[in-house]
Formats: sequence, C-alpha cells, structure tokens
Amino acid sequence: CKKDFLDLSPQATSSAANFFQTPSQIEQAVNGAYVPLRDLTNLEYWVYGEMRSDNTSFQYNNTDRGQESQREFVDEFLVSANSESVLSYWQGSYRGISRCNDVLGHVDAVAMTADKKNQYIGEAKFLRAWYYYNLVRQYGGVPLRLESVGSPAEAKSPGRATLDAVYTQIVADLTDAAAKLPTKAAYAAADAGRATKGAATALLASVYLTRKDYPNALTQLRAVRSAGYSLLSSYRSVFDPANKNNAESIFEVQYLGSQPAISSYFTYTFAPYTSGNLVTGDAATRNLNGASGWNIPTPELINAYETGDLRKDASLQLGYKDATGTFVAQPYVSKYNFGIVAPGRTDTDFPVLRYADVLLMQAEVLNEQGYAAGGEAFDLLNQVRRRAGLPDKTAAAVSSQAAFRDAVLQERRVELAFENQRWYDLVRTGRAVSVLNAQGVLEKARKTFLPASAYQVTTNNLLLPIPQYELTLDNLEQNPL
Amino acid sequence: MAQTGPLAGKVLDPKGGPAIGATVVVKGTTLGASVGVDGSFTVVNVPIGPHTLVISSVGYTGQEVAVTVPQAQPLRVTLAENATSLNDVVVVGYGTQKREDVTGALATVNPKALQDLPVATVDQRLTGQVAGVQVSNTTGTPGGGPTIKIRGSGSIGAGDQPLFVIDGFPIASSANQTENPLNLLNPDDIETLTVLKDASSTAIYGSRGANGVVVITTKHGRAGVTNLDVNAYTGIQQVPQKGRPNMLNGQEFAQFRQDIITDAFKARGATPTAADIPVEFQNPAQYGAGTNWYDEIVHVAPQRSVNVSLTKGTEDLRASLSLGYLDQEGTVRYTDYKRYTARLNVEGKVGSKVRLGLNLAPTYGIQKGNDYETGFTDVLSRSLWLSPLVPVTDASGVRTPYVTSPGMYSGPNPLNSLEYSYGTTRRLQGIGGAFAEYTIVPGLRARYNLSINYNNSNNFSFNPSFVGGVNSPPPTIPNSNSSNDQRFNWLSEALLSYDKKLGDNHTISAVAGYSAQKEQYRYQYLNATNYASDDVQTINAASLIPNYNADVQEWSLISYLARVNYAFKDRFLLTGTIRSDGSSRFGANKRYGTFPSVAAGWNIINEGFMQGFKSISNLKVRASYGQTGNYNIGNYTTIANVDASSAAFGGQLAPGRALSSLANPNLTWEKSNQIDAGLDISFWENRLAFTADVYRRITNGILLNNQLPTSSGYSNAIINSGKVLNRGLELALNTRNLAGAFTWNTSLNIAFNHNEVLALNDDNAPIYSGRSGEGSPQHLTQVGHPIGEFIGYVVDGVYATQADFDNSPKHVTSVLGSIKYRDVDGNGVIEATKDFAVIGHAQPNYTWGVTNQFSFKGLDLNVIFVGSQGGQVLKTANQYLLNIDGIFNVDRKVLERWRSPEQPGNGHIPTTNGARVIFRDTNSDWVESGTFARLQNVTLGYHLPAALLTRTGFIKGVRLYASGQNLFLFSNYSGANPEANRNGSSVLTPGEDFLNYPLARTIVFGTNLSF
Repeated sequence: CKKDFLDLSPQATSSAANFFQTPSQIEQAVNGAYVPLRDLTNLEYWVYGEMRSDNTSFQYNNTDRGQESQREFVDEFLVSANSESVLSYWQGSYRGISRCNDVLGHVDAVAMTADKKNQYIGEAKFLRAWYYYNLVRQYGGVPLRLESVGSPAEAKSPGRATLDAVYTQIVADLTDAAAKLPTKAAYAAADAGRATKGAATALLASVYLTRKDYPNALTQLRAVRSAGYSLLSSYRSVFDPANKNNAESIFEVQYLGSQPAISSYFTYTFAPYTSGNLVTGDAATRNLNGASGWNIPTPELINAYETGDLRKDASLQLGYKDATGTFVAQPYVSKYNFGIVAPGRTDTDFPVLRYADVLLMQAEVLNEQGYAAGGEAFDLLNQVRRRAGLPDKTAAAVSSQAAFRDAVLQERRVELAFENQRWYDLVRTGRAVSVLNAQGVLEKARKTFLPASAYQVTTNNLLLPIPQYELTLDNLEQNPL
Repeated sequence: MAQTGPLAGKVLDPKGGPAIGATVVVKGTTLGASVGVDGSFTVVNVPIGPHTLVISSVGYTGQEVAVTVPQAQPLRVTLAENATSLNDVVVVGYGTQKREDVTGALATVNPKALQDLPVATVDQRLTGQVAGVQVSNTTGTPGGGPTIKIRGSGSIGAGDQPLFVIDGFPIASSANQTENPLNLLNPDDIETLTVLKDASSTAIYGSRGANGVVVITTKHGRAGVTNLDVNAYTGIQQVPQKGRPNMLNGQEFAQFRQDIITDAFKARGATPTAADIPVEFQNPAQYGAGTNWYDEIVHVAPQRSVNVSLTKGTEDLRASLSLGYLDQEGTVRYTDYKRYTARLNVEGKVGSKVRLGLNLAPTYGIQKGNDYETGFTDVLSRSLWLSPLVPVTDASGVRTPYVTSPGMYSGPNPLNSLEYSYGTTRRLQGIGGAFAEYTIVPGLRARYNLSINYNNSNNFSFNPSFVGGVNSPPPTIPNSNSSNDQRFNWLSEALLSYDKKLGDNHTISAVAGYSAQKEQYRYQYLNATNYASDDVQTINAASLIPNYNADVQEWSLISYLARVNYAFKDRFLLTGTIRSDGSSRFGANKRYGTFPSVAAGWNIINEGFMQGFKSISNLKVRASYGQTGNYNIGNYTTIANVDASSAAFGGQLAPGRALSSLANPNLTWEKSNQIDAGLDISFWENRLAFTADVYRRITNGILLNNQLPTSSGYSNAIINSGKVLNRGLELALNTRNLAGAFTWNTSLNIAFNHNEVLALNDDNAPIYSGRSGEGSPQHLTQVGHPIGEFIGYVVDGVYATQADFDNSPKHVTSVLGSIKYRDVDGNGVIEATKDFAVIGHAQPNYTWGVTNQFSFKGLDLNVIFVGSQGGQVLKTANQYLLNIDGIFNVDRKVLERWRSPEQPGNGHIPTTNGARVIFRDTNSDWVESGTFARLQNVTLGYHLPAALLTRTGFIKGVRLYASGQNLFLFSNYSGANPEANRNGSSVLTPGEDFLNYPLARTIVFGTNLSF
C-alpha cells in the first residue's frame, strides 16, 4: 500500500517504461521521427538553403527589427555562433536523429512481421541519413550519435567525427534503407508520403554527387529512373496540395492543413509583410507582422528565368496589387501559395526530392564523366526544359563540358528555385565564394543600411559556426570563422 | 445549592489606562468576562470561596491572581508589556514551546506591530519584521505576491521560497507575482506568526524545510470571552512620481524621428529632402507634450476592507468566526482584486479527556488583470513605447482605437486593451480540517487531524474584435482563452505528544507522528476563436477551438517525525528532531530521505553565578545543527515522458509519439546542512533585548536543471549536482526606550547573507541563464560567485571619432558613433557571449528593518522603515526604452546620443545609424544600484476616551487610524522599484527589472471597533 501511494505515474503523458513495446507504438515512434523534419522545413531549411544563396533575400522591415540578428544576418554572412537559428538548426536535426535512434534501438525487440520491421528500420535510417546530410553540409564533421540516449550521464557526445566518417554513416544508412524500404507503389494510400526505396536511392545519389563519386551516383540515379517516377505535364501542379505525393514527387515533407499543429504556412512567411491579406487571401489576417517578408526573390534570380519560361509565373510574383488596385513592385515567392485552409493554416507540402531533380542530377553526372554532344545528358536536361515551355539546349549552343556544367546549374537554379537546393549547388560546385561576393556588391548597392562587413564571403563562411551553446557544454572544436 | 457572588475589578495597562480586550477567567470554571472600555470587569455567579483568576491579553504577560468570593474590595491588576516575555508560548512546528526553552533560531512577529497595514496578504506584513527574512515587493499587481527568501538562496533549480504552514497545514505552493496562493488567508485572522530559520526548527518539516518555514496560526475562541471586533478601512493608492519612466514627449519624439533620417543620410554623405521625412515628423513643435500613455493608464485607485470577527467561548466550547471583504482597485486602470473570506474555528471538549475541533476557511477571490509583466508588447510596456504623437481621444472624445506613426511598432489604445481585453480569474480556495485529541494520561496526548486544501480557479479572457493587437489593427477576429485548474490536497496526520516534569530537575516534552499528504491537480485550457460577434463571449458562441490543453498531476508524501525537548534544571536544553519523508516526486532508487537535527541551549541567566548581574534579565546561548531538504521539482521528472508528436501521411493524421525527457531514477531532494549559533541577551528587565545568530548552510546535491548538449536530443535534465553556501549574521534589537505615559519602543533587525556557489555539475561548467531580447544569456552562475550574476557587454563609451573607431575592436555591424564595447576575450572582435563579463549581481550585502512604536494617552504611532544595501538591478526594460531603431518611443536619455564627432553626446548613447542589435543587448549601462530605504508604513491611531464610550453601553473600544504604506523611497535607482523582478524569473535569474506593475503608495483611514 505504501509503495503504491508513492508510485505515481503521469496521466497526461505516457512513460517510456511502457513505450516501444508493441508494433503500433513503434509505428508511432517512427511517425514522431518525421516531426523535426517538418519543423526544420518551416524555417531553417530555407533560411540556410535559399536566403544564404543568391536566390533570395528579405524585405527590409523597418518596424520590426527582431529578426535582424537571426535571419537577416544569415543572408548577410554576419551570423555568429550565438545566433539562435544556428542552434535551432543543429538542435532540430539532432532531435530527429535522437528519435530515429530510439526507434532503431527498440525495434528489434518487438515482435512484428518482417515487412513491417524492415519498413520501420528503413524509415528511421532514411530520416537519420537526411538529418546528418543536412548537418554535415552546414557544419562539417559533426558528432555521430547512433545510440539512444537514456540518462543525463550519456548526454555528452564523443566529439566531432570527421567529414568522411559522417558521410560513411549516411551512405550506410541510406544503402540499408534502400534495401529495406517498400517502393512507393507498395505502400497503402494512407501511408503515402513515408520514406520509400526510391527516396532512399535518390538521396543516396545526391550524397554521391555531393561527394563527386559519379559512378556510384549514376548507379543510384539509374535505379530511380527505372522506379516508375515521371514528370508531371504542368510544373505548378507538382506543388499543388490537391496533388500530394504525385508521380514526380520522390519525397516531400507532409503537412496537413486541417490540423493546426501540422499545417504549413509558407504562404504567410514568404508574402511581403506589407501585403496585408492581398497575397495570402486570408480575410481574417489583415495585417502581417515580422514573421512575413522572408525568402524574397532577388532581381538576379528573377532575371535568371529565360523569356517564356513557364516556371517563372508558377514560382514567383513581381508584386501585388494593393487595396486601391495599384501595383506594388515587391516580388515574393508564390510557388507554395495555393490558398489557405483556415486562418494561418495551409495544406501545402514541401518538396525534398523530385524526378526533375533526378533528371538534372543524372545530366550533371554524365557530363562530369565526359561531355557528349547531344548525348543522354542533353536529353535529360531538355526533358526538364520542355516541360517549362523552353526550347532544347543543343550541342551547338552548349559545346563543351564547362558550358554544359553551367547550363545544368542554371537549369537547377530555376527549376528547383525555393526548394532549398541553391546554396548546396553553389557549395558543391565550388562557386559559392565568387558568386556570393558578387551578389554582395549588388545587395549593398540596393540596401544602404548594410554594414561594410556584410557579404565578406570566404571559404570559412561555407560552414556555419558550431553553436556556442554546444561548444560550451560539449567537447567540440569550432569551425574556422 | 451553592451560594455565589460577583467578582469585580479593573485591569489596567502599564500606563494606567484600561487594558481593553483583556480577558478574565475563573480558573477551572467556565466563568469569565472581558474587560470594558474603562478597564472594569464583573464576573457573576462565582461560587463562594477561594479562586484563581487568570488574566490575559495579547501583547501583555498573563497573570494569575488569588481571590476570594465575596471580595473585600474590587481587584486592581496592572498588566506588564511582554515585548519579549520569556513566558510567552511560541508556536513551532507540530507544537508549542515556552520561549525560554527554545533552542533553535526562530522569530515571532508581534501581531500588535502588524495591525492596520493596508495589505492584502500576510507575506506583505512580514516586510522588514524579521532578521533574515527578505520580503521583496516585486510587483503591485492587485492579488499578486512578493517574493520571500529566508537566509538567502540555497537552491538553484528548485526554488528558494519558504514553506508556509497554516494551522498545521503545509501549503504546497508559495507566492508568485501575479497570483498569490496566500490569498487564502485573511491577514486579520492571524493570531501568531513564527519564522523558523535554522535546521533545528525546520528539520521537523524534513524535505520541505530547507528554505525556512513560516508557521501561522489563526485566531481561536477563549473560554469566558465574548468579543466582537470590526476593522474597516478605506483609502487610496497612487503611483508615485519617482521612478516613472521618463520618455520623449511629442515634440522631442517627432524631432528624434526626423534626426534619425537626417543622421542616416549624413552617414552616407547625403542630405535628406523634405520628401524623405514623413509628414508627421516635419513639424515637431505642433505636438508639444504629446501623449504620455503611461500617465493615461494609471490612476488614483480606491482600496477598502472590512473584517468582522466574533470570538466566544466557554470552558467546553470555543468558537471564532470571521468574515472579511477586500476590494482593491489597481493603480493601472481597469484592474482590480476583490476577496471574500470567511473563517470558522470551533473547538469543544467531550468529558475531560477528549477535545474535538473543526475549522473551515473558504476564500473567494476575483482578480481582473491584463497581460502586464509578460513581455515588451504587454500593455504596460506598450504604454511606454507607443507613439506620443497620437492623441488619446479625437476631438469629440472618442478614443483613438489604434496608435501608430510612420515606421513604428503599432498597437491598440492601451485604455481599450485594459477596459475590454482583460482576463478575470475567479478562485475559490481554502483550508478546512477537523481534529480529535485524546488525553491518555495527564501529559500524554494523542491527536489525529484530517485537513484539506482546495483551490478551484477559473480564468477567462476575451479579445473583442474592436481592440486589436500589437501590429494588428482592429477589427480582428474575436477570440477567448479559458482555463480551469483544480487542486485538491489532503493531509492525514497522527501525533502523539508527551509533556512531563520529572522531579524538579528534568522536563521532557516530545512529539512523534505520522503523516500522509497527497495532491491532485487538474488543468484544462481552451482557446476559442471565430466568434460571430462580440456580444456573447462564452465558448458556445465560438466556432473554432484551435488550441487546447489538459494536464493531470499528482504527488504524494509519507512522513514519520519525532522531536524531543529535554531541559535540565531550566538551564540546559537539548532538542533532537528527526523526520523521514518519502515522496512520489523522486526516483525509485532514492525515494526516502531522513532529516535529523540537534540543538542545545544554555540558559545562563538561571545559573547561580548570574545573581550578581542584576541588570541582565536574560542570557542564553544556543547552537544547532541539522539537515533539511528541498523537494520542489515538478512531478514525474524522474521518468522519461512520452509526448504526442504526430505526423501526416496520405492526407490524414498519423498519430505519433516521442520521448520528451530523460529518465533519472536517482533523482532525489537536495540536502541542506545548516549550523547555527545564537545568543539572546536582555538588560534592565527586558528593556533592551538583543538576539544574534550566525549560520552557515551548505546545500548539497542541488536540484539542477542541467543544460545538455542538444546533440543528445535533449536540451536539459534535472540532476542532483552542485553545492551552494549561504552564511550570515542576523541581529535583532528590541528596546523599550521610554516607558510611562509616553512610550517608545524600537525594534531593529539587520541581516547579512553571503551566497556562494561551491560546486556545480561534474566539470563545474558555469550555468548561463536568462535570455535577452537578442537571445543572449543574461545571468551566469559559476563556482566561487553568488548565484545568477548579471553578464553582458562592458560599455567603453561610443566610437567618438574616426580614429577611435579605426583603432578599437569592433562588432561586425559597428559604425562611427556606435556603441563601443570592451573586447573582453581580447581577440580583436566584439562578439556576443564571448565578450560578456560579469557586470553586476542582485544579492544585497544586508537587508534591514526598523519599527518604532510610540504611544501617548490614546494616541499610538507606528513607523516602519525597511531597506537593502549593496544589491544591483539589471534594468532590462532598457532593451526597448533605449531602442534606437526609431520604431519605439524611447527614454529621454536618447537625447544625449552621439550625433557627430563634434556632438558626441554623453558618451553612453550611440548614433542611431548602426550596431543597433548589440546596443539593445545586455550591457553594463543597464546595471544600477539597488540600494534603497523605504518608509514602508506609518500608522497613527487614536483610542476614543473610555468616558465617551461608557455612555453607549455596548461599545468597548473605538480606535481611529490613518495609515500610509510605501510612503517614500530613498534610492538612486532610475526605475520605480529596486526590488522589481521579472515575472517568471527563477533563482538563476534574479534582479531583472523589465517594468513591473507599479507599486502603489497607499493611504487609508480606518477604525477598529470592539463590542
């Protein structure tokens, strides 16, 4: 009786002692491992994948300077190790990794069918690889944490792993995930959006491409090419929530507009903060605040679209009409604007991997392995261009390996605009320093408030600083700043 | 039939006046009377023969007088004042003790000294009364509470508030800034108040005793006495001018905005044209003073209170009944607090061996508040930074609904927010209980109590469509928030006590007990929106519930306790206490803790050799040592919790869960070891009484919310680690300076406390805490320093000249004229955290209080001063008060800013052109001295002459008084309240002034009537 009197269990939460015991609990734990991905996509992925590149910037908000040191400084290469967003990127990624480790550490002990077990292991490994892939590209070699942490005493990491060790782990996880995961077609409709064999394979290809391992990248890309994915005929419909997980989509971050906690709101974040409800169409929210006006397309990106490119109108707008019908020339990203479900909530998913990306990756890999005038690489590139309403690139116009390299990068810039790819493309192709210093000159001419120290981009800026919080508590070494 | 007769006489106070309120009881009978306005009494129907009369009165030494009926002549008794009478009975934990026998460090608060303070709760009456008890008046929120610390901060992660025990019931939660749980007690119902400070006296509360204990008992009926008392006052409260924020007026602000633009152009070698200046700022002179929003939202507010109490008793049945009403309007418009209290204490005897009792004390409070003390957009802060160019009302007297000027943060008219967008908390709470006591043999008693403490609180706020929010002008969608929480806490307690004198030399008193306590807490929250209109505000009128929450928590505690007091020849005193607590809050491996203590005292005064020192009336030395605990961590912190974390697949919800905390089955209470040595000495028949205590408390295994590397998947976990030292000296002096027709008593106390962290986690990594508006840490706790020192940039002026700028370390955003911080780490670059240094600390060197009481004939005067010396305040409100972005109205200090090398300003305020982010981060210019002295209370009272009252026949006494609270503050601090602390601050983040609800100066007029 006395023991019971003091032995109280929570009623509003579950206790870990009773969790990870049944197949359905394992599935719930797997579902939980997707959640940090959703949180990161909401903010950190575009802040560090697009705003830091030459594709987007921000709308200067003179009435709300609260994000100056968080988001604006990222755009301006002034961000420091103390920035909260530098920490939240790190923390969110590791929260996901920890959840994957919890699944992987417990799944073996739970009796279930081999298919289900393989699926759960595959999903967890795919997600873990994705979180590490983002970490390693942003921070360099990071601590490798592959075991579930069970007590405060285990909280410290073994220190930073080497870049190679992190990539080796990513490749191992993705290889195993690709072997274990079901194909997209094998999933029930209610499971659409889970990690698939195709997603693991495509991500593995992306990893190999980043590592410049072209033969392995090609093997994986060919595997995805034969997995039944295809381009949709309309570019804009790829992103339409009415069309989630379509034939072109290999992996996208799932949102659900009907659930406040799971809905997306890119429409709001990317709308000019001055546009009231004219861009969002949300009658109830007449005023936007400092949470809006982000990821604003730069004039350079707008000019990067060729005349007649159907993707331009589908991706961005040059401005909006104010209440009096006057056009306000304030560009913004409209790619994810498909109306709202309820005030503050949209249903739009966010693309991570899609077939057009695979085509362009393969074109790039083939070209890196050797320029072939009018070869398969041209065909792949032109498949993407044709859908955009653009004429084919011919061998006459693109007559060298270097020219084709430029053509693919240009195509990726507009095809995958605002999909958080540009920064990584610039870095892995070795162009980031020159492109962004040049971009800085243009930005400073436009924004007179920028300090002289902004946009002084060196190779040190290609990695984020390790968060100061983490350095203080763990045995980590800072990146060269 | 036995013959009877009357007993009559007069009871006088030491000045020869009537001892109104004194009671006279014939010992061993139910016969008694209370003393009338002229001091006379008559007891009728007293059996013929010899008797003993027991005469007692609060504040005086009781007397027993032998009498015989019939009387030869009327009795005449003069009572002696007992400021520090040794025969006093002192209430301690689980019992009482004669003051003479006390071995621990404890202090009682003289209820007479505390009457008529126009305060809502008992904690405020403690201000300045006891050495070592620091009551900080952090907020003026009606219904809110101060923060209380006894002997410094011994804990880091588990709170440092003392345990309150009301009529034997340990209250689970203590004071907080917006809601004060002690509202459950009407301060007028208090009979005794004892503060237990050392381990010997608090160890009986075991795992809850480490931060000290305040033991309160409420008024009980007395045999033979009928008293009806009415206390009523009414008065006003106002916000003192001193320390009100000093913002730019309309003209200055328009000019400031114009100058910002001019300076920005100038910095890049250009000159603005008229078109570059918004038209609103082009002609500053048109605005004059403009609007002072802060002055608009504060007002002179009434406060009133009525308490009626009736006590009546016979030898077999005694009762005390009281009713109270408090209505305190806030000095911030449209805020207030109303409280209705009732109390019934009944106690009766069945036969000669059984005593039964019941007490009920429900309290109902209605608190109308707003979102003050929450952040820089709250209604108080907003009233500072809103544009002074916008008038409060238009020409026809209609309030401006929304306040903005070009390029500014905007917000609703704060008067609209206060009047229409408020929150109401309705709280029904109280303590109730019953006991039975059985005297087994004389001296040995068994007692059983069953008590409950319940609290049901309902909070509702509605935001109508026409008010709007910050940067969100009306109309908005009407929405509401409602929350409901229930707390039910029961305590079952069995006690056995034994008091025995063995021969002439040995006195033993002992108590042993068992108790079980359990609390259940339920909480629900609903956020409802899409109301069709503003008319119907209940949730049924809303069409959407976008956010909701619920929680259920329980904790339980099982305890075994024992205490033995032994006295040898009234000279040598020994006390041993032990308590063993088992708590549900702690890990399965460390669930029970045992808390022992010992104390010894030597009443030197009773030694034969003291006979020669006639001037010394008391001399005692005491020493104690013991261990106590602190169990204040949340429930279920020892287990790994799994929370909902759902995903979506296939366009449907896919339920998910994830671990949200780390398990720690070894988690247990923190343990404090405290040693105390004390000296009590009095001279000249207690005309001068002096008490000194030195103590040293080391808290081990501190409950520490340890930050973890987030690569673990977790950012923090509560662990037992670390060690904190508090050592100090407490001095208390009570003097009766003048006796006779004119009396003057003084009590003075002063307490020095030294707080130092001795160890932290394994590697003694310092703890960074607090969070500035820019996300930087604001406080640092490190080994060898006091808890929670302020950290931030060190201001070295501004980059006054180009040469200065070129040759000094810079932040990436620095420009000529911007703020110049010190390069603390010497790496040539200014960076947050790395270039932070310790810039101050909140801990005072000492705190003090002085109470002077004067009386002459019917007049009495009570004056209380309190103060604190050596602490500092971190004025974090500067993050918006000194914001140079131009989006806020700002402190007038900004007029002294750098404009050019020729106009360098005062060297502390930079140009508006750059490095604005780091200028609004914590820096050494925000640290100010928190030293203050406050005239806390002055009360002047007058007893109407008895001759006047005798004619009425039924009024025994009338006293009229005027009382002022918080009358004057002597302080160099630029803000209003050097004791302010940010709402929600922890032990790790002390001393932060982010603009709290203002402390009112209160003046009331009242009367005490007794019938």
